[in-house]
Amino acid sequence: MSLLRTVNLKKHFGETRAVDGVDFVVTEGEVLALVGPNGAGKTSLVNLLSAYLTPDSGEIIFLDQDITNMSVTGRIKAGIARSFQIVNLFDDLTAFDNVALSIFSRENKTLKLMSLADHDHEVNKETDEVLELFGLGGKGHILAKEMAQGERKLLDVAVAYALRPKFLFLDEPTSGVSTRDKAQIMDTISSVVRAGHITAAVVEHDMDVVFKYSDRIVVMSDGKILADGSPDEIRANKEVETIFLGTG
Amino acid sequence: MPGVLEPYPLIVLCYALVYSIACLSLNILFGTTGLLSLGHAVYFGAGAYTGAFLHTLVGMDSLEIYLLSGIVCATALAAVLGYFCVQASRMHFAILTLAFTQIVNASFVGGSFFRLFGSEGWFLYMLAGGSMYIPRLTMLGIEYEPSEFIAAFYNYIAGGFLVTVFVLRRIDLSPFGKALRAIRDNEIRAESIGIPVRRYRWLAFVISGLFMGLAGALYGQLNRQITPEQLGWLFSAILVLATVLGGVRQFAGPVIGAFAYAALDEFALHWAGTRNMVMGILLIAVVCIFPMGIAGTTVAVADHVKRLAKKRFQTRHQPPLQ
Ligand SMILES: Nc1ncnc2c1ncn2[C@@H]1O[C@H](COP(=O)(O)OP(=O)(O)O)[C@@H](O)[C@H]1O
Ligand SMILES: [Mg+2]
Repeated sequence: MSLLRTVNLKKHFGETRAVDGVDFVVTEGEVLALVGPNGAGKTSLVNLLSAYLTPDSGEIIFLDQDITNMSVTGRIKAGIARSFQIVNLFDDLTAFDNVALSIFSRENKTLKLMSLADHDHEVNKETDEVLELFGLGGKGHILAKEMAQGERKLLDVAVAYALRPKFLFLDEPTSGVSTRDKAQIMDTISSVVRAGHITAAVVEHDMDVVFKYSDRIVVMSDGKILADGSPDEIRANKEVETIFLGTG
Repeated sequence: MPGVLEPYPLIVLCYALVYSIACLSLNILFGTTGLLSLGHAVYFGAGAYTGAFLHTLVGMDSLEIYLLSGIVCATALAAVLGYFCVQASRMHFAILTLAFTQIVNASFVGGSFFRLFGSEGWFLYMLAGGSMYIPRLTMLGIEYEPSEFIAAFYNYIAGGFLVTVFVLRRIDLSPFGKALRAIRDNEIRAESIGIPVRRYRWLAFVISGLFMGLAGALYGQLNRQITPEQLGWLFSAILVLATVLGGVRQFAGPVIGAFAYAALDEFALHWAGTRNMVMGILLIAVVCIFPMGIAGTTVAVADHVKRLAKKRFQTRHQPPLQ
């Protein structure tokens, strides 16, 4: 069953056709990779699905409901969470608070004006568990801005994960880190997502990584979906090969 | 305190506590939510003026009603004006708050606000040019002699201060307080985890306006004269300066700043015409000496000393070289 799909989704910026008639389908339970050269429209697609951009035309269907006009907050409540290509954290808050806030928000507890946040044992426990899952156990007290780049990337994903979404869209969770960190970050994310049975789409450049971790691969180029298939099918696709060779 | 302090230092303490309430309420918006208001004097002024009008126009003479009406009016005003201010970006937010203060201030200086109350209001304006006098009001229905007044009134100020500290501190430590910090640090991310950014900014604004109203009302009775100056941008800026001087990232910072300001202000009184100099000194202190505020600098120095001490300790206990 399709968890999410878009119908002929379009977003143009002047002459730039960032997303140009995309039918993107996500099936429940799968981990898919969204690949494509720089400027292909991947981030724009993430932004459209999370309501940071409004489409020029087309529809977005989530759990058989048309959510095209739903707000950012509405989509989060519906169960769509995202991370950001450029690390986007609460820099002056601790790693713990970064994650705890997602849980408070999910549980509709952020309007509690007079209760002590640090005394909420349920939230504390879950926050510690999430940090542990992402290999950040014991680092909860560190300010987000003082963490290493690789840890910040993981924390960014952890913040989205802590919302317990039905669909998690990760925009380049490994951009800007060393090759060695990259493998470790992908291992962590993959095991968390699989263990939690979360449907996820991951934007990634590195084809080795993509082939290793995903069930299905969607290739975008110039705002359009160029190919869609299993890792083996994509590996055999000549057109895809030229695109990736073309961009180095 | 009244038993310990002479009347004069007691009055200075009262002013310091009133400014503390004002700076604490300003800081839930500034230090916690990241919104700079250059117009918070409006809510302070509303707190002071509301009861003054009630007294003059309908003869209300209870301190409790004076305080309550001031708080209600300031809160309502903050709810309305705040609604418009929080729609704007951070930069435009500051400008909007400034614009609203200017409008309210001008309507008091020019008297148009007083015209709303007909000829009686206009007479009031002609009498004092927008200033108003507040007599010593009754406390729990009891009239106090001038000599006993301040000692009794001190309880209201101290009580108001303690309630403010308690409530704002609880909010500071609540999930809501964390959400406000999240909005301050990164509003896009805050939105992406489902925090309604504008609604929470508005709520912080209203809470801030409420306690500002309390501060203004206490000030009105303490000073017993209020002028349109208490509604103006300059007074708003003084409150911001005092808050920044104290430190916006520590809860106690605004209190320290308010006490420092009250002390400097007191000092300046002894040399005629030095008020603006005090402002200048405050500004220099903030920019050059305490960019993190007194509280922030203290914490930073303490951290540094702690780290140094730890290092010394470690080097002293290093194992001997092999
Ligand atoms: N807000 C915007 N305004 C104008 N052009 C944009 C905007 N966002 C993206 N674009 C353009 O849309 C195209 C797709 O960008 P993007 O979605 O970021 O691609 P990707 O994430 O695949 O690298 C690029 O040409 C980019 O310059
Ligand atoms: Mg991108």
